[in-house]
Amino acid sequence: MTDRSVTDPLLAVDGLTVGYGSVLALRDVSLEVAAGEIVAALGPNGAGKTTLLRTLAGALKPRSGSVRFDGSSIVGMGPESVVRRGIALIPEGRHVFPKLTVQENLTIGGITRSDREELRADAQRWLERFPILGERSGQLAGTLSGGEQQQLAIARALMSRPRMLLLDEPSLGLGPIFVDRIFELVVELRDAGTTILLVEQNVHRALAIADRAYVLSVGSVVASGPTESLVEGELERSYLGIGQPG
Amino acid sequence: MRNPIPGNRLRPALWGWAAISVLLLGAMAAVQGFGSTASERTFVVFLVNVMLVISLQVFIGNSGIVSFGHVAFMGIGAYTTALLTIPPILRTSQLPELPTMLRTTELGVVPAILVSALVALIVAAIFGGGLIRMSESTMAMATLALLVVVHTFLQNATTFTRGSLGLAGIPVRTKVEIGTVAAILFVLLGRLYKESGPGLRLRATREDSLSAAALGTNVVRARYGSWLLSAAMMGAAGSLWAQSVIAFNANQFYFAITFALLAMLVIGGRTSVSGAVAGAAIITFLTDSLARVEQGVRIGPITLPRISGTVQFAIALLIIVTLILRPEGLFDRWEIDDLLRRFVPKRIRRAPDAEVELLTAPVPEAAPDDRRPPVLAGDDIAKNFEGIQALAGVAIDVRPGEILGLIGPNGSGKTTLLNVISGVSHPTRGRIVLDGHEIAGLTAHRIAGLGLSRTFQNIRLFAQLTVRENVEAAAPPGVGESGVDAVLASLGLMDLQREKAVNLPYGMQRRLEIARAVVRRPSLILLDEPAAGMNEMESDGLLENIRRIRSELGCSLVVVDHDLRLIMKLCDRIQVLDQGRTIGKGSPRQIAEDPVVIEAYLGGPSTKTA
Amino acid sequence: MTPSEFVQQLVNALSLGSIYALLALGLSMVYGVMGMLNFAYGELVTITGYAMLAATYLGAPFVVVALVGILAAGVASVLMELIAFRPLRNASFVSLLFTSFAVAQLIQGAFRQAVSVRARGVPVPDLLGNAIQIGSVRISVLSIITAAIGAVSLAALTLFLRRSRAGLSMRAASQDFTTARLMGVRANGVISLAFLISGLLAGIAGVLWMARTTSVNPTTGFVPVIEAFIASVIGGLGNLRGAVFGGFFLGALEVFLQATLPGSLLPYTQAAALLVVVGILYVRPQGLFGQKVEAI
Repeated sequence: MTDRSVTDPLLAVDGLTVGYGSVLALRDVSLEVAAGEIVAALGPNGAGKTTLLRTLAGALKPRSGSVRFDGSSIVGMGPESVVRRGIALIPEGRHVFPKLTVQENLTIGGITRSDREELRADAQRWLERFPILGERSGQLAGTLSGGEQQQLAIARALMSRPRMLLLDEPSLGLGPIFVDRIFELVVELRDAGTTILLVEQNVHRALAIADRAYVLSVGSVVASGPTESLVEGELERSYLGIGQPG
Repeated sequence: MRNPIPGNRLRPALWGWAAISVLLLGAMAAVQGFGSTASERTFVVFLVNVMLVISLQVFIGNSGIVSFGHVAFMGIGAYTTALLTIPPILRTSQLPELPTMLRTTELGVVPAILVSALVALIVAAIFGGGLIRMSESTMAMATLALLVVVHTFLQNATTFTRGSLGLAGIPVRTKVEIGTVAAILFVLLGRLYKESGPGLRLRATREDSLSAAALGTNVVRARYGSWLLSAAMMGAAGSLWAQSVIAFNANQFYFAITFALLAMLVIGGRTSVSGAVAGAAIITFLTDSLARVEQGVRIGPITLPRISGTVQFAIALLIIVTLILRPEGLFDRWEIDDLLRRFVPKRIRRAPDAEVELLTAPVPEAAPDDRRPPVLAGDDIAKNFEGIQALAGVAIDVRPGEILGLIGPNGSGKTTLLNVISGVSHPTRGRIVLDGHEIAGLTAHRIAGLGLSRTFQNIRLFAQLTVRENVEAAAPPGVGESGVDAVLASLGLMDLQREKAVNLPYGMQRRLEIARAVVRRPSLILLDEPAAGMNEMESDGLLENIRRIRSELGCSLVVVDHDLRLIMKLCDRIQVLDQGRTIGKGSPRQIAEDPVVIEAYLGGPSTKTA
Repeated sequence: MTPSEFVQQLVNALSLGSIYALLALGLSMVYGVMGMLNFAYGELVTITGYAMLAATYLGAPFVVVALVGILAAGVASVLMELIAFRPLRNASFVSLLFTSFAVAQLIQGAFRQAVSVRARGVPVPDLLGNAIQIGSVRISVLSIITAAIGAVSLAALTLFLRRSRAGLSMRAASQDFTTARLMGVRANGVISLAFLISGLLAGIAGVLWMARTTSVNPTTGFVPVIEAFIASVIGGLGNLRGAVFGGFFLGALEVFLQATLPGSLLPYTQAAALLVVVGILYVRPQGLFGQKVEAI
């Protein structure tokens, strides 16, 4: 599929199968993310993208398959342990703590760290990087707009200084200006050293920043490769069903 | 007159009842033939326990809501009976200030039972109206309050109850024979209620109250009905209890017996009538044997000292062990007839050979009709949640016989729109008219009654009910057994009709969801992501089913889905939402070529050269 | 009612309300984090009473006795969770409720067996039986101390929840348990902490209750816990501020009814208070501060 260099990938998923009751949400999914990459997982709704991220983050237990992060297995670990290994998930729908303030949300993001001074400094840094959050640092997170909550969710996840970030549909429900900002931020983070696995419905935007992409459909990987190799017309067709007979 | 309980549910119920009755009669014969007075006494205690626990189960088992207060109705029944059966001389000597009317009335066993049931019913009716609207955890607390209030009253209204001194001299009429007959009748009533229409719909609300409401069940009314019935039964059981103990006081109707009855349900089976009987047997036996241990007993060479409280202890331990090892109780959710069926060869029901028509009436035009008024017309529909505008003023119209596709990227408001139309959620503003009725802001079950059905994105079946029961629970009054048969057959579910919904494979579960919506013979069906998780072959099958439903029922459909291939092939018109607004509306071809739509789905114009 | 009587009753209400508020808070806290109603919560008050009894027999001064009582409740609460509720962590609301009901019966039975069915006296310093006179108003020392301890406890708890990392973790977990775990908040840790704190609250309430009633029997914890349940429901289950409000509201209601009901109806004080609350719930089923659930 891809020409990889000698080093092992940071994240290696092999044969992952995850189910809910009688439904198999993911069937035998395999993928890799090398350190410093932005990899996109694309596909229509119901393809299993959110299930994939939640399983990687430890919120779901797979039926079979292996997940190796930085060489060691993290399969079956609870989310508390996965985040301590260096993987942070920004869930779909943001899930900020509505009755905690912006500042408190940031603090919770760093709850696994014991270096108080650095933690405070990081929080300050993020409040400056996102001026809106800085302005509203004492406000309850539930009162922020969708775009502001998304910024907060990202900053919060970054408080744990993760090596890898899992982003679930960050542009969901956001206006175009915010979407631009979010994608710029993702590139910035990668440039600063964080590896990114990005799930997105907004195909064009995702392909614009990703190095490689996997396309999922009904729980399986149906296509993958460097973004240049994924032909746009084909993608459009599989999404919109145009040009199909009948 | 139409049979109130369809044969497929009535037959097993009667068999199950017969089996239990045989067991009870057998036990009665054994006790009378070989037992001592003490064992006769224990047997009567067992029979009364059966009656009490079944009364309690009529509510708790079918509604899934815990009530701590039912023993209050037992107490009310017991005191009513005492006041009306204790010989007048004894009565006035214990209660000198009793009003004249109550001084001399003496009732026989059956009238006493009926009056007691009636009084309990009245009290339940007064309190229940408020209780039943509360959420489940609040209601559990409120029934606790009810228990305390009634107990306080019984303890302090000394004119009628003699408080803690209690009343004595109640004639003993609940003997072994009467008790057995009464217990058999209670089992029959409990089982028949469970399988009846109201009982089935209540069980559906226990499984998923939201989808039950969306399929036409008035949840509050269903719960209220079982509350009243169980209270009346409890009052009757209390009366029979009073007529077995000679004397009692107010302290009997408090936590000790509440605990014992709940234990019977937990250990035997919360939702199974057979389980309740088993639970009563286990607890009665345990209480009886341990009571002897508490007195100090000799086991061979060892004499155990007197230990008080062993009964409570043992029951509590048994509850905890049961909840850990077999959470639904000994019988789990099975009735005795389910177990018997394993041993009886299956009568194979021949599935109809051809596809069955859903209606025998002449088939209306399959094509959408522009001349008649729209089935659904909505204008300026808006919905805000906590600062997010999920819908920002959407208009929608659905013509008779039309299949309208509703599409849009994630977060565009499609499901919110379906929720607002179906009454699951209330619009912040807007006007929605269904077949001439204004429905904006109405409750889900009322809208369902006006001709709308829906399915849900994350399947909301009645998990522990069978396939057939799922459809029957949704069926409106006019649809009988054959109507249900027809729906099941047309969706290929006949062979699976006795399977529990939770055990079905995914594709079948989706079909069952549709079957429930179809059986209501609605004028409009909302399908929320019916093709989710389906491959191409499955979704083609779905497409055929949906087309057939439209032509056979003459209804309209709104289909929300992300499988755009399906939508393009299936729908007459398509409406596209994005960020809570309509950005496109037209024929499939128009929509597929609309650049605004393409951009909304795939994101901005491409920056990468092909 | 004369002004001085009013002040007396007000202090009474604050004092009784404090006890109910502490208990309602403990119940709501566990509900918020775990989604369960702990029927065995009242037993912690009983345990406090018996622990105080034991400490008194061992000759300890009252302050130590009180501390022993409080700690005993805290430890018992944590043990209760570890032994009885953790194996059922993902069970339904109803299963957990039944389990806690069974645990309550077990504990009651154990005390009935190990000590006695009858009540035992818990000695309390004479100081608490006195009353002070301010102008024309007589207020019992116990009421003042109860109200004061209640206030201090609530303030300390608020401080803990708002300022400490553990408190922040708990608040986050009660708002969104899964996301809190994704941040790294340990599920077991935060649940044990909730049980510990609610146990300590029960212990404090228990000590204050013993000071009022000066005796303990196997069913001691029962009366205040029913009040606590109802109080937490008025406030909206899981809502901590609502629980505190509910506790004070119920306390005030009871004191008010006690003062105004005619003598013949006095035994119905508790029942009447409960009826008023049920009436409120009828009008506002979600409690005074709860969120209304849409649909149905």
